[in-house]
Amino acid sequence: MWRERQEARDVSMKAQSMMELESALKRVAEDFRRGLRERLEVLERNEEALVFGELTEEGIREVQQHSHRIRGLAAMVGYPKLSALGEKVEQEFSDAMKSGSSRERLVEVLSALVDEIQDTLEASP
Amino acid sequence: MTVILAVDDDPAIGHLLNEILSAFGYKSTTVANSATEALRLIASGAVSPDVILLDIQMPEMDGIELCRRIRAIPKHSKTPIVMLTAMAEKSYVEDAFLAGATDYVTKPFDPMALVSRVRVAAMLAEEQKKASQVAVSPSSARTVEHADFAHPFVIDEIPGVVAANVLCNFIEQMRRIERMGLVAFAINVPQSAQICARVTRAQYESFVTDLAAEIMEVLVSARAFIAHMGRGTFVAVAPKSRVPDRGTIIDSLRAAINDPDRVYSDGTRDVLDVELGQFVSPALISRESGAELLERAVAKLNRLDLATNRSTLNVA
Repeated sequence: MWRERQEARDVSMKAQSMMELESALKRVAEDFRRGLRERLEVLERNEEALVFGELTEEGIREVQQHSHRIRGLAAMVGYPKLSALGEKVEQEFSDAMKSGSSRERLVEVLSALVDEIQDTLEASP
Repeated sequence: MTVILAVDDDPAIGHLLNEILSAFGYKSTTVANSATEALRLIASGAVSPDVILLDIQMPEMDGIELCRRIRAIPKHSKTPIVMLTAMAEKSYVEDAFLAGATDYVTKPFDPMALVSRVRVAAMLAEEQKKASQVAVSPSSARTVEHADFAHPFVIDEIPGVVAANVLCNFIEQMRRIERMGLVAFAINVPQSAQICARVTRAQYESFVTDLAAEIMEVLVSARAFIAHMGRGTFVAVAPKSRVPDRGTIIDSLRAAINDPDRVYSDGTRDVLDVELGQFVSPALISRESGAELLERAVAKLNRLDLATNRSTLNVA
């Protein structure tokens, strides 16, 4: 009898935890989307600089930092494509710092990330 | 209540961790946004964490260096540290475990998986607290006790020597990166049982710690990690491509542990032998856990004993 009551209590606590987790993830996802607007501005500015051959080391660091953060969080709040593109940008810019990558390739991956952020924001409630 | 310190330079990840942990009852989580802030919180006593979660890639001081510095604080030399990072490269995993990490979770992570890893870390912290209370209790201090031969104990401060559960976590991480690249094997010193029976706990622990240091000397170039499994047995795990052949390992270990300069205070010394189990690799088809691989490595050593008609693991 005690065991049955304990099991019922465990199930109820787990269900409550799952509900709390769901609403917590919603809150974090909202914060993430709000933060995306600022990240979009930074990435667009650096994309433009890259296209015109004016991207500075500071700009590269900004791109790396923002893509790293997008990569880390996006997949956990329901945006796996954004996370994958963030990873690609982070990797390409890291390689560019070490051994150099073609500017076309950097523009290509950064533009893909910027486009995906725009699509995500447009589709957001 | 489990006190958790989470360190991540991204406030959004910190927020996420706090929310996930809170939903599962871990209501006492402090988030630091830099290594400096984390060290300040620990040093000032503002937070005394039972479990620490660390991001690796942070500006100024990264999580691996932070892990090393936390380990250097005596109070936190054994506090479970879970590395939580997007860096899944082999070198990062190795460096994290060498710096003293207990576990390694790759982002993006599943919230349920994270909670289960934190739960394991919290249980480990609880066990450590109980063990340290037993160690300082007056009743245990009064008697000269012998070590429990079968029971593994944690060997600190030798790079590459980790607890068995940490070695299991290391295997799991490396398997994700490099599926067939690992090999595990057991090492046993048959005289351990007799030595354990005749010396005090502290002396036996010192003997086993010396053995661990000698084994690591021999295996350091193989980038091996080893864990003490109890019964005078260690299991080593290393990349297959770097492990020397069995004969070389046995000869080097025999020479290392029988250093003629190592004598007891009364001038005597033990002549020690080494037994090496067969090399085992993670099974290709079945989803073999790290713990199962370690068990299989030890079982290969037992089979070796049967074949040579020698009893090693259960010597009275």
